[in-house]
Amino acid sequence: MLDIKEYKKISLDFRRVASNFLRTEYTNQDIPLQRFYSYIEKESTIKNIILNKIDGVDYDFHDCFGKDEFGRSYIDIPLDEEKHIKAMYDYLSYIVENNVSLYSLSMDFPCGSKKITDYLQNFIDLAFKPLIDYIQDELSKLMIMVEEEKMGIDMSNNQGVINYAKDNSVIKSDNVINHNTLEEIANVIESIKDTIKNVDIDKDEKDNVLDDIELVQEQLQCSIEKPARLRKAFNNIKSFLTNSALLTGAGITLAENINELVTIVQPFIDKIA
Amino acid sequence: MADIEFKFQIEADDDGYVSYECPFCKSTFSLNASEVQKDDPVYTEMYCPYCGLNDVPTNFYTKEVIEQTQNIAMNYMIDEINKAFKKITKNNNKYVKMTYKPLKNQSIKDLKTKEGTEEIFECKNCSNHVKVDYYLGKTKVYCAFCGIDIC
Ligand SMILES: [Zn+2]
Ligand SMILES: [Zn+2]
Repeated sequence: MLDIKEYKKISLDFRRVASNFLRTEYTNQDIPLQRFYSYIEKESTIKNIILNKIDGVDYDFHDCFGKDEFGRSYIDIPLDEEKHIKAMYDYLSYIVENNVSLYSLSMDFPCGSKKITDYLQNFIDLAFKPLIDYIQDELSKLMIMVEEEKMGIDMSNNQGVINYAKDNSVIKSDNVINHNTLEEIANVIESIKDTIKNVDIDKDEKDNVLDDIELVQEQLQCSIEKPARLRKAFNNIKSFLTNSALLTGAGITLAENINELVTIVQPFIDKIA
Repeated sequence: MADIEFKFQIEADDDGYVSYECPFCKSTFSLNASEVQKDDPVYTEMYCPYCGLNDVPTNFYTKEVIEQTQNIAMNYMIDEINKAFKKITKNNNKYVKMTYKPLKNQSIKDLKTKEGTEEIFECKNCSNHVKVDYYLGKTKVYCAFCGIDIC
């Protein structure tokens, strides 16, 4: 695995070629595309992100980027993310390797503008932005993992920064997550689980926030083995508070409960920051 | 026609930050006005702190700023037209009579950067700052100036 500096460099380079590709202008329209493709091909970290995802996936990109019986182009995104990634990657390779004109492809997707540059950018956005987003997400995850490992070492060197006294004995330190705190957290989480049932939010959203809450609880119980993940889950919980469903009815109680949890957990997050 | 330069001002918030909007993901963020206006180095590109993509700084102007610049340009044109017509009406003779009513200028609002639940991050690489919406803060925050990921 590379070190964090190298990942940061790849992330920056990738974002630059991707940005150039996304803001392709008429007159040089095929160059940013070729640069983007050759960067992906030669940077093994990125190539591997793609290959890991599409390994063993059987899908023909023509099903995603096709033409109907009247010769009109369409993009029909497959449900499976792997298939979508494979379709975008194969389509990109196909365009570059066969010198297909980006201009003529773009003209098949009207975008309410008269400028050719707008057509090009609209098409690239529709066809390839999800691939760029996916690669960036995966790069971020890799970087979090590397940072987490590094932080894990830092934390264990710093003896007993956060310690859970299993036997209820009092450890004299400000940083200890003591039994009472954990019990308090468990109680709040129980109320959250109770209340959330009556709040009108999407099941996926409910599951996500409950997963994050459980992750926070687990991490505090195990003296924070994965600080980066704890912080991310904690931030997700905080952002959930902006959900408009928390403004009315049972949502108000839920917001109060979550706020209580946030208040208890915040000091621990501040310490690992 | 020679290039005409228009000047406009955006009022910063209490911390001295002004708003920008990402052309890729449309998220808004704020930058320290004095850091953006630095002469050395002059920043010719800007990165979105949320999605990390980059473009020229002018493409990061918010809708309000763009509207404002258009209004200022429009007012300039209206003034020029009014001046031209004034000249014509002065030269009226007994055969041609021309009167004119000046066009009204577009109203120019004061641009003020709104304050919200935001957090300021400092870049360890270039020591500039970005102010991002805490709740939008996904896994990463990128430096708007040098593009490195800050956290
Ligand atoms: Zn963005
Ligand atoms: Zn920086």
